[in-house]
Amino acid sequence: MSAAIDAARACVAWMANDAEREDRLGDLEEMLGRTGEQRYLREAAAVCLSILLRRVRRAFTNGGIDMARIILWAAFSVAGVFLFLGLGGGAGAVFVYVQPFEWGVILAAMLGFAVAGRRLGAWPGILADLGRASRLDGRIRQDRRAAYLTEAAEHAVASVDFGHLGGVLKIARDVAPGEADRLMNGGIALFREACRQRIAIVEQTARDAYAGSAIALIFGLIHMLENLEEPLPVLGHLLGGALCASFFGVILGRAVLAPIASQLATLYDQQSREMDALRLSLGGREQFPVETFEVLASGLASAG
Amino acid sequence: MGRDSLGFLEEAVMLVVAALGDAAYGVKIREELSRRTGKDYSLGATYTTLDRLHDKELLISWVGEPTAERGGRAKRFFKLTERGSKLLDERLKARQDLTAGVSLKPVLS
Repeated sequence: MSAAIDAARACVAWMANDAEREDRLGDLEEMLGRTGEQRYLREAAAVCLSILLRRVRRAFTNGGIDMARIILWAAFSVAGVFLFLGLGGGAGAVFVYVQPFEWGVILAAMLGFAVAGRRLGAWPGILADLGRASRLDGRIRQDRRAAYLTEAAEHAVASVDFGHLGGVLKIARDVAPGEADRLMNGGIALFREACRQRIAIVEQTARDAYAGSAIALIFGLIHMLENLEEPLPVLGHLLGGALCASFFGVILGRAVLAPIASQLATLYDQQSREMDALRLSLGGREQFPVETFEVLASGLASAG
Repeated sequence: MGRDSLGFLEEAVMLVVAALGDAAYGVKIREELSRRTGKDYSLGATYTTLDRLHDKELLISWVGEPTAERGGRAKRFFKLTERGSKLLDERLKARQDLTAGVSLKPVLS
């Protein structure tokens, strides 16, 4: 039974985040002393489930709908490009782009590259950033920068948008004002580095799509050669698919991933400027209550 | 559900946290909740509710000192925020108003 306890303990430790790991494991440990191993296993399973449920709930609250919107936008972009190319190439040519085999090879290659390069884990964060960008963009256009800061001050967005800076602000409560400025500077530098990495990941994924195209072309030709006994129309479709696969990845990279990278660059640049503004305004203070965001927001509004 | 709406379990957990005062942490809250409601709640269900209340900013939490009975691990304590206390107070008053003068005897006997 102790092996099962160890496994349950490891499972909770793996699922919990840094902030909650200690107290969750501690509570379970305390229960083990009072109840027994059977109950411990049930409780550990319930704790894992509660962590999972919370993650799903937060994923939806913090951008699930926006993510769905982005995926739809990407699907429409790709469909639009194919329709345009298909119609340009003559009626009926659209169907040459319906090549599940080649698309499958490209996407599998991209997934393989992402897993091998350990880039897969960054994508939920990138999509959430894009969702947030689209949500806040409307407000910024409407009410200039003040709305952005008010949004950040009023909602949980503050802790996400100003994630790095937020962490530094918390530390800054217990340090001297001069030290706070130095810490905030460090926080902003960290944020910029994280942004640079995310943009690099999207750009690399675009390059992966081009490489995937080349692989799909070869696989498509092999697929065609395997089916040489089929009638000519079928062979024609297979050959067309293999040749078109050579630019499927290019379209994916240019029409979908490159715009994502550029949108991210704009968003991060804007956030970086906001953080600099906050640092300059708050740098000399000892305490940084959330209300200060609103004060700063109104200040920017009157200045704008 | 909105930030000011409370389910039964959320209200019960807030009451338990208020009742336990400075000793409100995971295991204690679960035990007290089960004792008061007569229903055996799991630690996971308690955490889910605590997390939700924390997200709604009705509870705050902080980490205490590590103790030996927990394998040297620290406890996370919970406390009602000002908004949480106010909301709970309003709910209790509303409940009192609702139940005032209510007779539970059957109308027809």
